[in-house]
Amino acid sequence: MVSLKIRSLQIGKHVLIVACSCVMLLPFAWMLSTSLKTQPEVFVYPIKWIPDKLIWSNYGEVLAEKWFFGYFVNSVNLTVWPLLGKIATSSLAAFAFAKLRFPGRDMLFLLYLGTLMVPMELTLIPNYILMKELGLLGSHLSIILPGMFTAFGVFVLRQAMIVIPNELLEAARIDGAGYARAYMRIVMPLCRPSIAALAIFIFIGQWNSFLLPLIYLQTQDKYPLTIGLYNYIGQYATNYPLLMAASVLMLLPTVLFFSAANRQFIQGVAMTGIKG
Amino acid sequence: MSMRAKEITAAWLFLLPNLLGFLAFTLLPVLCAVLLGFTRWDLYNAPVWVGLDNYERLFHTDDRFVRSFWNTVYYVGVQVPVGIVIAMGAAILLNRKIRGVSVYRAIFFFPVITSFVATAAVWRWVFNPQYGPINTLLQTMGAAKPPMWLASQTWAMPAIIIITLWFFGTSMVLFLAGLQNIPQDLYEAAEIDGATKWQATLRITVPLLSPTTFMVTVLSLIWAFKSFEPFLILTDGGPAGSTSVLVFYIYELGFRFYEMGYASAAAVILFLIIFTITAAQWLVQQKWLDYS
Repeated sequence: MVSLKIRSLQIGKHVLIVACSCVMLLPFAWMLSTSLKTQPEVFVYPIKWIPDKLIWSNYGEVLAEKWFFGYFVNSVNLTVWPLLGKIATSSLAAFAFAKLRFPGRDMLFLLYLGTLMVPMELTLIPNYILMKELGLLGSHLSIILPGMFTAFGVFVLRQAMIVIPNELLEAARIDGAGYARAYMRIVMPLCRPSIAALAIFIFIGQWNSFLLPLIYLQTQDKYPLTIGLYNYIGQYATNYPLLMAASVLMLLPTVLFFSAANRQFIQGVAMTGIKG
Repeated sequence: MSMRAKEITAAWLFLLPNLLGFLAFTLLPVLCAVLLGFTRWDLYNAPVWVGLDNYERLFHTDDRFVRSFWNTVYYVGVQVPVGIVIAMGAAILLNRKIRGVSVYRAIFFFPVITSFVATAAVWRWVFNPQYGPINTLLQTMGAAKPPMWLASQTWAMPAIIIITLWFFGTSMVLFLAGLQNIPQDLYEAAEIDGATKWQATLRITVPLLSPTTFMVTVLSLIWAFKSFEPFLILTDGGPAGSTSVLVFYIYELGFRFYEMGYASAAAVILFLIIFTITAAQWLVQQKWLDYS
């Protein structure tokens, strides 16, 4: 028999949770709502959450905007290639660290770990100079090339690979499989959850990347959505409906990704936090 | 080739792609950054070796650097503790098996995965001195002259602190993980002994969460020291440099004033701060492990 007091406490906490969730979502709600308004409606008080007429054409205007599609394509470019590169290079390296024995292995890995501590801000300027000397400044390659590597990915995937029983690999070797095949046919499929979690991490990090594109890319036609939106804020400073429509569009991929995979992602964050 | 030699060759082949990138884009730049810190270079003329001049300038004559340092301390000093309390509270609140709890957790975590730029315009409106809901609310509550927020030297930083608190999701998730390590029997025993929920939280949860709290504190400190986007997008370091934080100043030095060597020196200082925090964490953690 659950007492009335406990029940009301539980209901109270539930109400609190729902209330807090609403507060957390308020900015997005306002974003959506404003993106469908006309300009005068935006600052009406009390706030009109549902506009009289849904101005879907705001989205049309943003999409028709000369640069928007370009920004989007750039974002895709700057996300997909580094993502593929990071997964490929870090899984290969992780395999070596986890399953192969070679002199200097542990020292090298320690070095990798050490660099996890290095803030990106420190390597920002030297990399900028490097890109300038290579003549890559202003091109997507200046971001994609360095973007294909990650010590963090090596760390995470090594953790995942270490738990794979060596017997499996030995059996494969006896059957005549080379290391490459062991990697492709055995290790990678077994690591799928970790790879998926890592991929989501990387996707979101790359899609939202701001400082690097800001500095390394020099012209409008190369900027991703993050910088594009930053420019819009300056340009459309007072046209909130358009600004909000652009912001919503920018958020769409991450929202979709996140809804599909939020449980794995949150678990992934917790895991890396504990281990790290 | 022997088996051993084959294994070693294979290992290096597997490592090579990542290693090359690591050397070229991480290790080498770190060394260069340190070297650059001893030069003055604007990328047009040749670099000039100035030894420790940059560091002397940073600490002794550069008001802006000192200001950005203290601005960062201000930001970190307020944002981190408040953020931790909020995150811990949210984690405790959401650490239960009610229906749909994973949806609520996702909602609380969601801001973290958005790009700051995407919600920046919303925040501009929220803190708008004339039309924003905050000032409108303050006015209806009787405030005669509500703050100018992002346009005010005194209130811009508090505004940014409040805004960035919304992103407590990562810390919350880490606390949730830590909470799951606390055995339920402790709470049952406390209930039998007649403790209230509040007492149980204070006497059981908080102390047993301390390892997690410690880790979250260190991580939050590091993230806070590296904050950049809000300060660029919302206020551009202003008004009058009141929201110029370390990373913002480094960005300004390198990419607005083109003082590459000097900016590198500042970046080295930032790295040393972060390194000190991490090292301190590691040392304290070692001591902790010794005691348990």
